[in-house]
Amino acid sequence: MAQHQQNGHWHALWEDYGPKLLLFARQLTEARDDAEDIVQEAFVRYWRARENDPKLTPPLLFTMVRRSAIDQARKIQARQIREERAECLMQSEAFFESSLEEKERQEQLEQSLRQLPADQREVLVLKIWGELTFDEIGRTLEISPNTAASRYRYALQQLRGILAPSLL
Amino acid sequence: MNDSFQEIEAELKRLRPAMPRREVEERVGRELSLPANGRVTQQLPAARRTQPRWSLGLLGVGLAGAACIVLCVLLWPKRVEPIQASNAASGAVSVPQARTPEGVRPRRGAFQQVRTANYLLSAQEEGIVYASATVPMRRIRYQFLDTAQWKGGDDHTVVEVIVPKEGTVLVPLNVH
Repeated sequence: MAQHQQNGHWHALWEDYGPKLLLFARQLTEARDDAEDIVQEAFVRYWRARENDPKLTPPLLFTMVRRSAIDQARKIQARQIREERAECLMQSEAFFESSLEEKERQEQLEQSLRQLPADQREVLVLKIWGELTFDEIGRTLEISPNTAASRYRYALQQLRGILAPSLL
Repeated sequence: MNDSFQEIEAELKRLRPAMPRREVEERVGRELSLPANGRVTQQLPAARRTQPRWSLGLLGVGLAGAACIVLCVLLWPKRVEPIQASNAASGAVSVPQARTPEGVRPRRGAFQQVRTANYLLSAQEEGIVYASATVPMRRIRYQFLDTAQWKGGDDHTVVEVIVPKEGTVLVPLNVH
């Protein structure tokens, strides 16, 4: 990670962070196309900013994704989208790549994930797949680290309740 | 995290997020291969945006420029009109005399501008704008109260005009 940051190749960073950023963006906007636009914009902005300030670290990418998503949502009346998002999420394309042998299990997990409240799902995504610390999650979502940790715990509790006992 | 969650955490970690489509990567590549030309980038997160070394200085320069413009506008054509005898006789008054007590007629040219001031209400940095292929500019929007005060000679009548205004300045950036 550090190596590809230093040698200036954005491809390696894209390979590493592209899927994580897309997953996070898709918690913030319902359409995959919109999420990809947000990721593209945030990534380009981050990379350019990093050229001027090499100290910028990749967790900032998530903050940029979030801000881009907020900007976009404001443009198209965020409130309605937020209210309708949960419903849309239930029908949109898969969040995850699926493997044949675990397809059913993955689908079950993903459906459970989509049933979580948005604020919990955001934290869960940043923690599990973004691999951020609670401090970093707090900075990204503008909440305290304790709140992030609580939401994470609630999310896991809810997931455990939603999932069929046979799954775990 | 709690040991009781380890199992479900492990289960979740086994899911691999889907990659963005190939064309998104191509679009990123195309965009990064170009110089920033005419593209408006959005603002950095606040923590990174407010670098005190130069952003405050630029804000100051922008506000000073705006203040100069406002002063020029105020001082250039806006001299207090002398009171017309016919207006005074009929009771019709122009704006500067509007608060003059009834029946008291200020002398011709008695009103003097005694004060102009701008009060900054808020300033908001709106990010970097590329006005041309190579020149990044920082866009700053600000709201302020533009005030001007006139005072009458004999009766000390004070007329004050307060106008809320909003402006945007583009400040060229030098990136070191």
